[in-house]
Amino acid sequence: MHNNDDLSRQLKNVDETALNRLYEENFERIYRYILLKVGNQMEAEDLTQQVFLNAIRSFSTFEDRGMPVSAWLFRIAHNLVVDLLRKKSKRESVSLEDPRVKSVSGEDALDMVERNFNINELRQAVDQLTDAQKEVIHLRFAAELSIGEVARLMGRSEGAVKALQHSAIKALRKILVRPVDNE
Amino acid sequence: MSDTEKSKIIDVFEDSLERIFAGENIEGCLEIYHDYVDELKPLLETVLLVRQKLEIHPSSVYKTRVKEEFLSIAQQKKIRASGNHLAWRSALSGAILAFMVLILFMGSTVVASTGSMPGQVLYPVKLTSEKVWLTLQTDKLAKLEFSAKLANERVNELIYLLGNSNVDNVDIKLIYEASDRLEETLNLVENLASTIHNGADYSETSETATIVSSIQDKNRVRLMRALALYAVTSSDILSQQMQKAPQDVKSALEKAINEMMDSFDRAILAIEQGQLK
Repeated sequence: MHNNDDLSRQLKNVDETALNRLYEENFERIYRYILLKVGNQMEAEDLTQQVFLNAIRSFSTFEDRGMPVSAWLFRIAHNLVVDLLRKKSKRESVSLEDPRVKSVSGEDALDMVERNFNINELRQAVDQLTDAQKEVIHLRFAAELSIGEVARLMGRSEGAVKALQHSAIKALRKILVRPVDNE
Repeated sequence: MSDTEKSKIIDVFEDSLERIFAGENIEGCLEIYHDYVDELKPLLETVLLVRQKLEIHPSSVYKTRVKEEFLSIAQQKKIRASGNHLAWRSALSGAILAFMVLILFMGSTVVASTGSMPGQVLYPVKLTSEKVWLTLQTDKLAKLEFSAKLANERVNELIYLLGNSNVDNVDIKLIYEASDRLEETLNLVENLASTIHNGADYSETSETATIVSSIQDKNRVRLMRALALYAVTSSDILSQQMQKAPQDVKSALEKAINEMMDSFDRAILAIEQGQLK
């Protein structure tokens, strides 16, 4: 476990080892967090890239106020997602689920559709939860943050986050598992 | 169920969850909390199901590409922050040397390539010479203006490709590539505009701060007008082309138009805010 003070200082000094670690530890978690929120691989790739580029441009302004650097990255990700969803709600966007649209990563379109199926099924289930429950699922399961980090990001107590987590999983059980039980 | 019992179950669930995250299986958790099996088992099964659905990884190609860009920008910042003019000059000298070599050996080819279009032999030469010119622009505003022109050029190339396509014979790959290049250029425009707005690149040294202060408001206004003109004109032309475009490329084109308008909006806004500061 690294010391957050040391890490933030190393990042401000553009220490390549620290940057590598930050990237490797957080890239996939941020990607999954965004993907679960936007439900689209291409948009998730764009936004994940943007999170890291925004971060590197503003490390000099990062102030360590007890918030881990990773939580700061998730805050950037959250803001970018909110921005994207606001724009999409204002204007009907192109359906990026169209299999003819090539992913930024160059992945085969059919693979992309298959991969999106699972995440979209989960996303539809999560969409039926309350806003607070949704955020707990996003941060705890997609971003894999600790209860403490989730509590800090959401501005709630750890006890409240644990209760939300419990109720969210209970609700997801009803949505996701019941149809299978009935078969 | 009492509040105390509820609270206990919530804690038991959280502890089990931490164990699952650490690699323990459901049976192990149920063994520890055997008094809560009925409540705990379905919850942990759901957790596994959620984790299974989230078992998705970005491609290694994409991850590596973003990492390279991330580290490259970090390196540039480090060079600027440390005031390492030697490194900067070395990089610039390298670019100038590369450009001179390009001129010496490919001078006429470069000139001939300026009007080339995607799919043509000289098109890669055109892209390379553009990159060299962009590197040589040391003033951020000049760089922004040049990149806006490049965005306009990318739009023209898309229009050219669409104009030469018909329903029976359309090169979708070329159109996707042109669309990607447009998006890339627009991202550059947006990033440069944001950088100017935030002053992030200029706050490090007094020398660069002087450059910023020397930027005249009228230049910003001129640039904003140029960007707005590019945006409106390009969007109109592309929209007209889209009506005639084959179905296969419409989605790519529509995405390109949306991306373009968004990026231009953000770039203009960034410059505008910079001016009002």
